[in-house]
Amino acid sequence: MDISLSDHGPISVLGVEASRIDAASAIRFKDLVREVTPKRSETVVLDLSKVDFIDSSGLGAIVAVMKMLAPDIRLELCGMGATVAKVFSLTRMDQVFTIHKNIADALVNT
Amino acid sequence: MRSSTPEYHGGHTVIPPPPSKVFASRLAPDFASVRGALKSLSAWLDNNVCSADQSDRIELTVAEALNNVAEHGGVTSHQYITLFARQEPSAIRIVIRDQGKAYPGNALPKPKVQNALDLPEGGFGWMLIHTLADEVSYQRIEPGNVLTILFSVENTPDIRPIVPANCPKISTNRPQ
Repeated sequence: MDISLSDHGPISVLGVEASRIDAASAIRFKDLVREVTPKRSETVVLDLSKVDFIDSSGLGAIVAVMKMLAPDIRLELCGMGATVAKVFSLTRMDQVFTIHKNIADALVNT
Repeated sequence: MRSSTPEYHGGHTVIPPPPSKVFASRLAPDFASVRGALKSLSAWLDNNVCSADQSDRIELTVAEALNNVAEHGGVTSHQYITLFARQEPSAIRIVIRDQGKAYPGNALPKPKVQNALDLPEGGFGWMLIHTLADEVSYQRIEPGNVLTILFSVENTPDIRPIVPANCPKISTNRPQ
């Protein structure tokens, strides 16, 4: 797994460069987000458009990242495919996160 | 000399058995091995066994079940988990066996009720399994555990009942 960074001033877009966030990659995912996120960010938008599978460990890792960045940095999500979105709705985590359709929407609406 | 009319076999039609499709995998109790097994299972499911939606539902459920065994099952590193899948006429049956410790209370764990606003980082596994599967059952068969998960799948391709073209309709109405 890799995480890419695209800097938009106070908004940092972190792209998950992997098809899965699962139990095997959850710890690496958390470590990478911590390393890549610029300290001066106000909002981190996590782009999940390349992710086609997430399990409950991957979901837990995203929740952990949100708690890790708070209270200085807000975590928002974008680019979820149907399979990933289903995991968020089944666990009701879609009520916890601000979810944008894609990066363009996220940049306009954050 | 052979006659062109079919041979009479009595009052029944021989229907060939439906093709049976099975998948089996043996994996070590760690997350990387679970990921490998899921990729193989997913390829098998996508290969004409069921639709992509069904395949995603099954992969996630099996992921939660296998991760549970790898994380909490007490399976030692020299033991294996086995994963079986079988295509049935209107279902996919998954059987996961391991030689780890018995489940708490020798029973199938119930889904944990959680409030998303409490920001839980785990504990979703059994809720997802119970929600996504159509039937789940657990048996302790010494010295191991057997978890069976059933997914209803509308007439899986390749395995639709074969009805001969000239098959007479059978009335189900009983005479009064």
